[in-house]
Amino acid sequence: MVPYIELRNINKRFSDVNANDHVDLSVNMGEIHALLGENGAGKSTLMNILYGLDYKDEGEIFVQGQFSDIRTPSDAIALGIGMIHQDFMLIPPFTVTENVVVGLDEEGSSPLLDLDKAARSIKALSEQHGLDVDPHARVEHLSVGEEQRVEILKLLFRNAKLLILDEPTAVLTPQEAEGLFEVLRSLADNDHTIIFITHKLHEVMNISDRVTVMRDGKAIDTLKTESTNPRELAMKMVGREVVFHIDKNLRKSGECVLQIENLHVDDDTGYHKVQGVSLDVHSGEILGLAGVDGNGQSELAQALMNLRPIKEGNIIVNDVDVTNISSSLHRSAGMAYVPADRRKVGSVSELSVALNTILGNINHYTTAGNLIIQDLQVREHAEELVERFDVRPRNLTLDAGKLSGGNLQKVVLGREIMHEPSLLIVEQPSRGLDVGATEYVRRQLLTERDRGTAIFLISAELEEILALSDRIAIIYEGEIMGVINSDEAVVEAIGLMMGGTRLEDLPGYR
Amino acid sequence: MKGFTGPIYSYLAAVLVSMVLVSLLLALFRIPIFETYTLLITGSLGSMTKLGDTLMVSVPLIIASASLVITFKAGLWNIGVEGQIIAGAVAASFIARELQMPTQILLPAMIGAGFLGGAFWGLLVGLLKIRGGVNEIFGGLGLDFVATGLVVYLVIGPWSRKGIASTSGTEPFHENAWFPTVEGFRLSPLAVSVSLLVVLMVIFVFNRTQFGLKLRSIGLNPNSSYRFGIPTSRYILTALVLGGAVAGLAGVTQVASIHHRLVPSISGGYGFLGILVVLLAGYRPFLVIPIAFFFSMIAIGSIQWQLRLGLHSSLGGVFQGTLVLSVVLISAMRLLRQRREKHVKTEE
Ligand SMILES: Nc1ncnc2c1ncn2[C@@H]1O[C@H](COP(=O)(O)OP(=O)(O)OP(=O)(O)O)[C@@H](O)[C@H]1O
Ligand SMILES: [Mg+2]
Repeated sequence: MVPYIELRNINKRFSDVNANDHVDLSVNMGEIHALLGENGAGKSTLMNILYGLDYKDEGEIFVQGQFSDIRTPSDAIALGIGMIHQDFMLIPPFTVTENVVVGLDEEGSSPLLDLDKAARSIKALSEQHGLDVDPHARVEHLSVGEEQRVEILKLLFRNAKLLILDEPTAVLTPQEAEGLFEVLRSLADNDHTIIFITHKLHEVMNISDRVTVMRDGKAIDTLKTESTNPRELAMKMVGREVVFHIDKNLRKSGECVLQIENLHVDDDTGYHKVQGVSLDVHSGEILGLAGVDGNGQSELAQALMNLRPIKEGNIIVNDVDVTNISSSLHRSAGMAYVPADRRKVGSVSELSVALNTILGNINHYTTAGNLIIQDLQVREHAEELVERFDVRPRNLTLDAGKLSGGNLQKVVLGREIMHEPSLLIVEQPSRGLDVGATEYVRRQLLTERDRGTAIFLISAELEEILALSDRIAIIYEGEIMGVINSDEAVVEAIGLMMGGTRLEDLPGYR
Repeated sequence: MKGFTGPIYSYLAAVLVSMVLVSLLLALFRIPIFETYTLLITGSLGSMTKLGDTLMVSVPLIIASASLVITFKAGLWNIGVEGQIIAGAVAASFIARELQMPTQILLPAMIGAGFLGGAFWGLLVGLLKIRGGVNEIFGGLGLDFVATGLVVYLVIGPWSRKGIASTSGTEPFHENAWFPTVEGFRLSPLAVSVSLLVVLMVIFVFNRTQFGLKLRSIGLNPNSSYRFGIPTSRYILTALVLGGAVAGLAGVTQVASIHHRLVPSISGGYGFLGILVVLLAGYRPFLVIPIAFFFSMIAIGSIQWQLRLGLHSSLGGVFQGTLVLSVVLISAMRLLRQRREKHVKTEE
């Protein structure tokens, strides 16, 4: 049988990185094919080449056995190839229908718009594939899960037969991810072919038929999913044994560093997102905040860093009231923050990696009354960071925006940790990281804690919370359901609290 | 900068605020306030002649603004409209001077030539942008200067009046090349219709065609649009050419229904004034018409200020500028109030 897609000997260099090193990949019709690999292994690059966003230096692409020279996304779309990117690409002020129809090749079709007719076909299509969404809603009002369904509808609407999804589950809740998998399975049963990039090994095991592992730009191996296991995949991917369970030292927590008193915060639309949260985090401990994404975690973190107005309540760090201090003073108060969105909030894409490592602390590296940046000192600092956190490639002058998702995360996290804060607030530290980097980042967080830093860890992944935290607070609809010690933590109990049961109402609570 | 997006009634509030501000200014110089404003109204709408003049000034302003809507919606900071108006005017003048034909043929030919002339000037901006990587702001501005130079050269050089090389303009065109007017007035129904048709066309393109949707998409996010499979460069080029073509029509109305000859200041600054109109309209084409008309009222009415009150004519510009600032002020206040209301709502 001819493979649906065949990539032969694809090579792509970016200045000093060989992002794709003579890669072969073949994907069969109706297959769900997982693409696995470390951060910076070249997965997105390979898929960008297939979708016409990057052009290969060498190699050939065959679609259903036909040699195809794909130079632009419209070439790819004409061949039935569709891609959903790591960052979503919809136009927020447009309606769902406008987003779906815009860019449709109008050959043969009328140059006039018939949005009502399009809305009806979108409705039908969404019912057929279980992709529930209102065609008339504006995309800016949708949840991430819904946005992703619109992206899929957009591909189906233009008859894409091959769907490429680049880390589609990174921003989804577990329930949303399960919904996505059902859709993908039913699409695959209906002659669609799917390439799926992820770092989560259980997802590979759960959804894929075959899996190709990439490392350092090369395709290492392609395996049948049923005849492999997570340990073997991790081994192939990282090139060494990966430790999934990290041992924690006993906790030596000290005085209270962060004290949150009765905090109330709204989101952008005025919805009351954080409703009277009181918590404390001590030096030398990790307090994990567990909860389904969207229950006020981000708003809470933003309010702590004064990135969002506080309606009521106080924040005290090291006995100083920081509730309304300007964000330029946070560093001197000992606070550091790693936001969930590294690309838009945590970094500046157009600046070099080196300059990104000093963001928020630039005055420390300037002379002549803050007018001149001292390049040498910046370079030393950046080199140390890149070395210590294993950022790849080791190129300090590269625009930060050109780093792969995982490596950018290392830069942001490294910058905050190297400032030796007394309080570190981290959101979704391993989102988008490969298993090796995840292990590494978690170790760094534990080292920071042992050094005496108070860490407030916000994560939608329960497994991560359980692995790292000393105490766990559970948030539901902006309220804390309870705080428990992690050595007494029972997964079922936490699950119940994440669903809205208070600790004191739990069955068997003393 | 996204332009102003408030509801219609907030424009009335802005007019009131700017009137208060200008009144303060007038009071400072002991100028009769009430009379100043009544003069503005009577001077621009008070008689058929004056109303006609106001309408005639609004024609090129409406057309230039419609041209700007096309490119602004596509995310292009097109400030080359001045040059495109001139290019249209020059092309139409060429036809008017060279072809001896009955007016029924000559006028459409001039309109066609102006359309093409403006389109060509827009094409240059577009090619500089997508081939040469020159931002449309610099390309457009540069070509504005080139066009101004060209028209001055023509007026004092090859197209100068016999015996005199003066910057006051070319020989008037033959009357066949004049847009017909209402008997006894300067008002030309043809020019007014052209401006309204252009606005209708822009509304149609952006609301009812695939092309318009794609341009809006490129304007909001060119990166996404490219990934959607839209050949963004080609559409950017098309938007600049179409915008230029429309601007060229403003040049046609300038030579064929206002000046009846080519003069160095043929663009009348409408390419720049149009930017203010479009920003105030929040890129909404239908709002261009009343806003441009109001600007024209100030322009024509303020002539009376000079005649009757001895005020300098630039006071009209001060009023227009205050108006823009008031709109900005009001929209800021509206946003603040919305935020505060939200707070009150959630605290209940
Ligand atoms: N435009 C570019 N310029 C320079 N280098 C680039 C560019 N795009 C990608 N790279 C480099 O190519 C390599 C492969 O990047 P790619 O984004 O394909 O990795 P990835 O496997 O998708 O990683 P991740 O899992 O972190 O998303 C990285 O080292 C990256 O820095
Ligand atoms: Mg990637």
